[in-house]
Amino acid sequence: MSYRHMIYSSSLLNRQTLAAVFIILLGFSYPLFSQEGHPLVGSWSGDRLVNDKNTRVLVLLDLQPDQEITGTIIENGVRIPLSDVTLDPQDWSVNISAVGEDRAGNTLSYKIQGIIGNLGSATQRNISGTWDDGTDTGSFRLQRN
Amino acid sequence: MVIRVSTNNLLLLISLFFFITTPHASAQSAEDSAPVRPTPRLANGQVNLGLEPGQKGFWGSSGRIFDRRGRSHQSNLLEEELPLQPWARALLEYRKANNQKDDPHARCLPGGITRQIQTVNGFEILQHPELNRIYLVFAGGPHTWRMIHTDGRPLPDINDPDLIPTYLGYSTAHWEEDTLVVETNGFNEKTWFASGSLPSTRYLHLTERISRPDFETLRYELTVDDPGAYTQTWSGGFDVAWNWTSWDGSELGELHEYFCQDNERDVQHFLGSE
Repeated sequence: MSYRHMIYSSSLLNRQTLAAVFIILLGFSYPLFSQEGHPLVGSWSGDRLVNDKNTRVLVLLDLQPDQEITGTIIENGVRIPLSDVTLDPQDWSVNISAVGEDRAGNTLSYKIQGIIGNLGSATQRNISGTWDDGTDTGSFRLQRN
Repeated sequence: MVIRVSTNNLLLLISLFFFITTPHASAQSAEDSAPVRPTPRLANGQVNLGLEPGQKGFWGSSGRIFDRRGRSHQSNLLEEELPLQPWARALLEYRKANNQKDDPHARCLPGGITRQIQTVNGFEILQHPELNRIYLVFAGGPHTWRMIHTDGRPLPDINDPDLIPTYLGYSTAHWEEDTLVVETNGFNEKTWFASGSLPSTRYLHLTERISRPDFETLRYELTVDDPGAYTQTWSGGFDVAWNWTSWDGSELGELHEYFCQDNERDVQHFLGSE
C-alpha cells in the first residue's frame, strides 16, 4: 500500500483535515524561516473576528528588493492576494488590503490596520488590530509562526 | 539608580577584563616590540591564514565593520552614516534601546559569519587546498564551524525554491593574489550577521576580503549588499589580532572548550526598555 493510498484511505483524514495539514505545512515552507529580518516578513497565523466568530487565518508576507511587501492571506481554504502592505517604522503600524474571492466566488475585500507588538522577539512577535470592509469590522490578531 | 546591562554585554565586559588583566597582555606587549614576523605561506605558496606546524595561537580580538574604535578600520562608516532603509534604521535603534536583549547569539544560536569572527572567544582558520575547502572553527557561541568552498562553484540562486537558507549561508571563495575573497549568500535571517545589532534580509550578499599582512594580523574587509535592509552597498572592516596564549591567559595557546548552552540561565533575566 502506497503512502498516498494510506493517507486517502484513512477515515481520520478527511478533506478538511488535509486542508489544515496543507496550511500547516505551508507555514513551514520558505520564506517562512524568516525571523530577524524585516519585521513583517514571514509566516503569521491568527484570527479574524467575523460576526462574533473567529475565522482562522494564515498570512504569508515577503519583502521584495524594491521594498514592496507582497503576500497572501489564507482564510477558509481560500488564498486571497494582499496589496498595499505598509509598515510605518515610526510606530510599527501596519496597513494591509486584502481583495479576492471567497469559496462561492463572491468578492471578498477588507483592510487591516494593526500594530506590531513584541517587535524584537523572533517567537513572540504579533500584530494586533482590526479589519474593516466598509460595512463590518472586527478584531484581527496575528502571531508570528 | 538601576543600571540595566544585558548579560551579553556583561559577558563582553568580563571578557575584556580578563583579556586586559591576564599575562596575555604583557606577552602581547613583548611581541609588539619584537620584529614583525612575515606572513606565513603554505607549501603551494598560498598565504597561510592559520597555524603553522608546531606553532601555537589563534585569532582573537577584533573590531567592528562600522565605527572606528580599536581595531576597526579608520575608513569605516560611522553608525549614523550607514545606508539603512528606514525600517532597518528604526529596528537598529529599537535593538539598541532594548540593550540587544533579543540578540539570537545571546540565545546560543549561531552568530552571523562576521559576528562569529568578532566573538571574543577566538577562532582558527584551517586551509585544505587539497580538499578545496577552508574551515573556520569558532570557540564562541554554540561551537560553530563554517565551510568555505574554493572549487570555483557558483553561489546558489536565493530564489531557488529548493534552496535551504542557513545561518551562515553558502560560501565560495577564490584568491586574488594574497587576498582570499569570499562570497556568501543564502542566509536564513535567523541571526544578526555582525556585531552592532545590524539588520539584514534574505537578500544579504556578503563579500569578505581576508588577508594576512603579517603573522599577527588578519585583515578583514566586508562589503554588505542587501537591498532589503540597505539603500546601497557599503563596506567596512577591522584587523584581528593573533593570540599567543589561551583565552584565560595560560601558555597553551589553544582555543578553549566553551559551550554557550551549558548552564544557560541568563536569557530570562535580560532587560530592555519595555
